[in-house]
Amino acid sequence: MESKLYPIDEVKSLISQGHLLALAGDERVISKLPKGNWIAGTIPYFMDVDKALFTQEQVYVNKLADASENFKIKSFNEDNIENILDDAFYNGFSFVIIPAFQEVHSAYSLKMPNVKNLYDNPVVGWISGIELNSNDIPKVYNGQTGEEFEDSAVIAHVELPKNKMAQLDIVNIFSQDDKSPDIQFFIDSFEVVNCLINGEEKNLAEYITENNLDTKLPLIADYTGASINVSIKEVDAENGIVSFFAPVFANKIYKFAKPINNYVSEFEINVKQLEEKNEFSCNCVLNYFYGELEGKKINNVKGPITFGEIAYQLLNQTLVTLNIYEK
Amino acid sequence: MSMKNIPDKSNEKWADLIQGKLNVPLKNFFFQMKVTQLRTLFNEGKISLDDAIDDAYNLCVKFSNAKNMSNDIEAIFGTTVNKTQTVVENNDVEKPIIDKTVDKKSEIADAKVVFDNEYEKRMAEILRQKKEIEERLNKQIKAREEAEKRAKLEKKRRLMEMERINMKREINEVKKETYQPKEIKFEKKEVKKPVSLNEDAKMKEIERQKKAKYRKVKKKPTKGFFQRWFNL
Repeated sequence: MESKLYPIDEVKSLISQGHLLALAGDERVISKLPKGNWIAGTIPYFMDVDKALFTQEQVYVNKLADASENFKIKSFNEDNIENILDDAFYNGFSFVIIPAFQEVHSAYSLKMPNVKNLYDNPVVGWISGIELNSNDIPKVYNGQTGEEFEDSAVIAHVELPKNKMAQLDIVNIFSQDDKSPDIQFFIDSFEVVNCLINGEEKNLAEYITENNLDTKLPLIADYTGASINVSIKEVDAENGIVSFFAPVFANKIYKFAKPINNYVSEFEINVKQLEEKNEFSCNCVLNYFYGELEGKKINNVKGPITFGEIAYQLLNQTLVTLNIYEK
Repeated sequence: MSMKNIPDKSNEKWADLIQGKLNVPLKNFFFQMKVTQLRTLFNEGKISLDDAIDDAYNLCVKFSNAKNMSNDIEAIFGTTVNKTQTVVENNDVEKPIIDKTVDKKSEIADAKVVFDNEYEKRMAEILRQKKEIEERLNKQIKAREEAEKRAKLEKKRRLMEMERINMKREINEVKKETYQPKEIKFEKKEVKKPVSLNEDAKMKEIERQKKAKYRKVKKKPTKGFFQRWFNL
């Protein structure tokens, strides 16, 4: 079954086959779906077969497992977030969908990096969102129970046969700017007042304003070779507060990213390292808007455009893929 | 890559990797993230070095077939992977056996020299290994002490930063509560008599007003909450 956008009638028919599905779509269509083995999140932006587009009428479908395979669907909130992987299978992967701007969103991003069994299997997923001009609320769904959540998240654990293995990959078109100072934070937080800039304590909002820095570019930390972004949400110069779409961590050194000239070509260069076909991929809504990706196509990359990507932990402005292959 | 190619946990490069002394840019995403997590947990004193090494080793074995994993193992441990290093901690060295049938004195003397040389060599190796173990232990103790010191300083800074954030929030709240619009004072101004306009000028003004109204209609809709959130 091809991962792509489907009209609602076809989605209903796919659900009736009993496979485990991960769905993405506007709440107006998702809420019409019958019960079944599926989890879903709201979003109306997609990278489809031909191009990236906005639609509130179709549903993006990823098959996560055959009806005959082992899987479990659970929901969780900020109180039991540290135990969500205790039910995972020894060999497999976990697929998470979290509603944006809720406690469970911030709790996941702050607590999960320290959860010891986080890396026992790939944990992939995304943050659900809404049309930016609307007053809708991001939601997630557990298709098995028919529940709809605004303040809880859903997770599907999938078991793979012994001869197969799941692996996560990311494509980050941004890289640290060598000219950027080293930035260190005092606490793990979505908001920052003061920080160390090249070892000197300064107000970050003042620094960004004084140096006229482009806030569309993320801060990047080096995770033993992996570049992990944190995108800037707002610089409140008056009150001296900078807020982010993901938390900054106190034990990391961040740098500002190098400017990007052309998002599409940068993605095309970087996705070449990926497998031809992947089970799932998602890209960030900030890349979609800042890079003006609507109507454009990036190689074979398809999937929902999200309010945050999960590759073990919460990421920003990053393309995430999940691959399953023979050992 | 097979499990056999993953060096044993006693290989000291595992410890160096966790402690951040060995900084090799890794390629496999899982391994990059896992090593970063273990370094953080170790530096914060939330995991012992032995447990961190166990964890890293076991997951490397589990995902030994994953993409780029063999490259990463090679980058850390070198192309020629050392076999398990068994540390000799016992000082009782097995002495070489001397052939008792040799009765000539010179042969006995030669054998004694061989024996002494071998004995010295083995003793030197034991002492070297002992010294290495001591050094490693000292380094670990020092690293732990430094980590504790760092953690104390970071805790202090964290508390200060949290106080700053709370203070800013409180100031914002107070600002909102105490905000009062400024009183507007109107001053009497001498009113100038309108200049009589000719018909031409009147028509032009009507046109200008029509255009202004048209512009108002064309105005973009107010930005929604999430649009403002994203600064779009």
